[in-house]
Amino acid sequence: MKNVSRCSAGECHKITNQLRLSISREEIAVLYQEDAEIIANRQVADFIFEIDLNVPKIANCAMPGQFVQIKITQSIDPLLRRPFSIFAADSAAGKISILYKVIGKGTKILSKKCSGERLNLLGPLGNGFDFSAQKCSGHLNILVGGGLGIAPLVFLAEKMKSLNNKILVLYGVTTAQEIVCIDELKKIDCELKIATDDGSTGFNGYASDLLADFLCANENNDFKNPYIYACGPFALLKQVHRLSEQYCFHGQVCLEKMMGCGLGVCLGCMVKIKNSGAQTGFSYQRVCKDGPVFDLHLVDWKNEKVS
Amino acid sequence: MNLSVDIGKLKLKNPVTVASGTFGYAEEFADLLDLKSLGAIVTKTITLKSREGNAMPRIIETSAGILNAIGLQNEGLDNFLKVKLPLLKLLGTKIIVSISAENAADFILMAGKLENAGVEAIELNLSCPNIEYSMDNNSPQSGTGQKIKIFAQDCEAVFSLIKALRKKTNLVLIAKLSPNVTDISAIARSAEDAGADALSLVNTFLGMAVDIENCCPKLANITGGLSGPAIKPLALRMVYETARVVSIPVIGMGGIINAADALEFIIAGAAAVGIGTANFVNPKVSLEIIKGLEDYLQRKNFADINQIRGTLKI
Ligand SMILES: Cc1cc2nc3c(=O)[nH]c(=O)nc-3n(C[C@H](O)[C@H](O)[C@H](O)COP(=O)(O)OP(=O)(O)OC[C@H]3O[C@@H](n4cnc5c(N)ncnc54)[C@H](O)[C@@H]3O)c2cc1C
Ligand SMILES: Cc1cc2nc3c(=O)[nH]c(=O)nc-3n(C[C@H](O)[C@H](O)[C@H](O)COP(=O)(O)O)c2cc1C
Ligand code: FES
Repeated sequence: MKNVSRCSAGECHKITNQLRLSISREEIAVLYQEDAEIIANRQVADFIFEIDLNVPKIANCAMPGQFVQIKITQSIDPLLRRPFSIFAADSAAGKISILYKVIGKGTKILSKKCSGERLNLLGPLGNGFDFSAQKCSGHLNILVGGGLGIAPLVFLAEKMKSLNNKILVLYGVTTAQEIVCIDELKKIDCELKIATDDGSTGFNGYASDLLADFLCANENNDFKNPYIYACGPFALLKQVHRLSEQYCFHGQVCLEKMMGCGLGVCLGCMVKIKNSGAQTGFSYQRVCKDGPVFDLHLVDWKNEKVS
Repeated sequence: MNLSVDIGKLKLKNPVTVASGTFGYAEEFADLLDLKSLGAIVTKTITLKSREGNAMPRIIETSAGILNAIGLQNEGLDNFLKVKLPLLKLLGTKIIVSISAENAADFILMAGKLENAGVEAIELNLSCPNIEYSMDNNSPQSGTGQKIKIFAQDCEAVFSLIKALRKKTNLVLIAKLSPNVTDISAIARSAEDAGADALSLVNTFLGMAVDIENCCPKLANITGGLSGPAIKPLALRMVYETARVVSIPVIGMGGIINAADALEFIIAGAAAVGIGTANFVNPKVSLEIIKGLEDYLQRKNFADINQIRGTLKI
């Protein structure tokens, strides 16, 4: 999904590339490498941290659904950058925030970093959610988030709120201890429903069950035609897609893949997407550059495996 | 101070090139660094027809390296000529187009079209370990099982391919060699004897990784090519052994992440270096390496980078 502020037609893309290559880099850049000072890095839930980073150029143009690639150590262990969705961006303060879960070597090291230390960032990367009026006005917008998939959706909800869109957030976590962003969501003035796998709070089940219940209950009223934005574990997204076939709604999903570069050159982060135009079948597209947000109906859900 | 080096007829303003498959078609990096400062840009390998590449997962991080089995995904030569080449020509640095094919006839056809389109130099990817040539019909198929046979593992195949190309084209021919051989210097000599203008080595080392929870390979292709700092000592040894026995320039690569690494290759005999995996970690790394080379020359009182090539004291 190209976001609204950028060219979307292929031709236009080519021209901007030509300009970018031949005229001035700085003036039309949409991607930056910045040394970030850590403003704060604090635990907000079980194994989950929020880090605030001072990166004025990235903060100035970040859109919901876009991500950054962080070089966590100066050393070669781990070697590669780690991708994280942008959870909040404050262009006035020159700052972005990220929510991350400690799951392995890189995130563990990241969780030990203190304010004042520096990290190198690349971003903003990828195409964010399309929340232009033609996509979301006149609909109920349902944001379905699983685990930290909630992070880009909170950023999206904040942007959408200023457009006066109706928003329902369906948020699923394994257990109550993992819930984050409640304050942010409350501030946004959207309807919020929470599901936990273990029933420790809210509905006992998955975010997709909340969606199924909602769709079933509203089959015959004004809300029967919602527009969905989803981010989270693959199983959740697949379930959302299944429901979209049953209830005929449209939407966008934000995908994750292991990334080599994040810049669109290694071709390691591919997902099969339905061909456009007259061509039938699916072809590989890059999650980092052509995504990470894709049209819900264009992903090859049948052959995509949990990664 | 002179940093320029010659790769055959191709004059590079400095010896730092970016390696095939790690820099796309350069446009992806346009916002991040001044592309015209690079010695040369080697494109992702292109093939005559577009290729879908291998199944996912294709990339796995390992200790100080990455394993990849991309399988030469690309849009094919015609698309490259129409969409990518015009942009590359604007960059103000040397462009080396990496190509691969199943047989000599296709290599020749591609070289001809590229020469007509104004390209100066091509790198022959003889060494991608991810295309498999079945023994009977010599046609590549991505996937598993079949015996792997790549040009760069066979002296005669390398010789006859480059000989055939040399007859048909004036392009600067750079043969990119595979490290997955018993004696790389023998392959290198075959390429030189057949008329290659330069050599580029190494491509990735065949390797694999296992997911112990599910008892399956981590790459869908089972095996892949290892790159990054993990391979540097291995690559350096091969560049050293090759540069000793050929008189054409060698572009050395494998695990270079800073100027000191680059200098090791140059002192061991490389005329230029290729930066691969390091581009993923730090897109500006090549420019930092160029700066580091200048600093070294100054500190050591050399006027010309070519003065330190192959100065290894044994
Ligand atoms: C576009 C994008 C946005 C993301 N946004 C967020 C975010 O906002 N917050 C957050 O906490 N995480 C996010 N992730 C996932 C995050 O990148 C990984 O959790 C992180 O890279 C793990 O690094 P590590 O060194 O701690 O783990 P490692 O030690 O590298 O790996 C630990 C385990 O996690 C698996 N793993 C590692 N990276 C990924 C990945 N990218 N996708 C799936 N499995 C992986 C590994 O296979 C391994 O089993 C995002 C990923 C992508 C691609
Ligand atoms: C993701 C990836 C893709 C690659 N694709 C190509 C390719 O298309 N053609 C080629 O000749 N080499 C390819 N290579 C090999 C590199 O050009 C280089 O020879 C190798 O990675 C060793 O250098 P490094 O350790 O600096 O990365 C690829 C390497 C990586 C990591
Ligand atoms: S991560 Fe390298 S192309 Fe997407």
